[in-house]
Amino acid sequence: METEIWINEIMESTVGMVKIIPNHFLFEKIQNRINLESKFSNLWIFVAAASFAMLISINIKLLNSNSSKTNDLTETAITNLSNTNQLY
Amino acid sequence: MALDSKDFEKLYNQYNILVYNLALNYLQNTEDAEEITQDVFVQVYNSLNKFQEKSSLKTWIYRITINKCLDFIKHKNSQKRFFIFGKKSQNEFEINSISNFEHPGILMEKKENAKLLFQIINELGENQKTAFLLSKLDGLSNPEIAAIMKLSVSSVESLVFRAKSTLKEKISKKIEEFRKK
Repeated sequence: METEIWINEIMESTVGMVKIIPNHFLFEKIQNRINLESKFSNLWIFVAAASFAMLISINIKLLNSNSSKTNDLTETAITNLSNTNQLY
Repeated sequence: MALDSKDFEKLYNQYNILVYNLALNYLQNTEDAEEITQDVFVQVYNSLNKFQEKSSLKTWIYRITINKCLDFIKHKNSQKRFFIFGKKSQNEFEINSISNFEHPGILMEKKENAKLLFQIINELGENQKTAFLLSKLDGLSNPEIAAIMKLSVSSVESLVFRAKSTLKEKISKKIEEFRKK
């Protein structure tokens, strides 16, 4: 009987519980977090864009230097041909 | 659904007490409850444009809060398992009792009993715990709980019933242990 009473007291220990209002600085903390997260995501977008631009410019440079090397090789071959006047 | 800062503040003012107190019920600690509240509202801000209005906003926010709380508890428990005595501890009592019980909503004269009750609530499975907390502490109806948990009303009734029986059983065992000491 006593045990039953004790069990009920424990089960009912949340009766009368009140709702607590959170700390009024909490909204500010939330806003700061949101602002920080959006700053970081903008930074990453900038870094990605800059890396992409760099890759493209490196590729263009490489392509240009390859094509100028090919032109030099072709000129050398033509010069040699005309000097020797032989195809084999 | 784009959100400007005034709308977001309105949303926060409407639901902050709900979220904070639900987190307090799960975690029984004001610091942790504040952290969860922040996480919830940041997620709400980031995901509101994806909210498809298949449920009410309140139901959606309840779900986010519950998931954040359950993830937090899992994470904390996995850390404790390694922390206790420097090795993995399988003792659920140790894991669940080593925490700062700090629920400011509980009446002073009932704090000790409430501390024991929450200790045992923490041992319940996730679904029973959620159903019990929403029913008993938040005062939600079974249909409301069913919408939040995406279960049938009869499943919720069964969960709440089983949670209460399990709690009474465990409380009775604890009382026996106290008597033996």
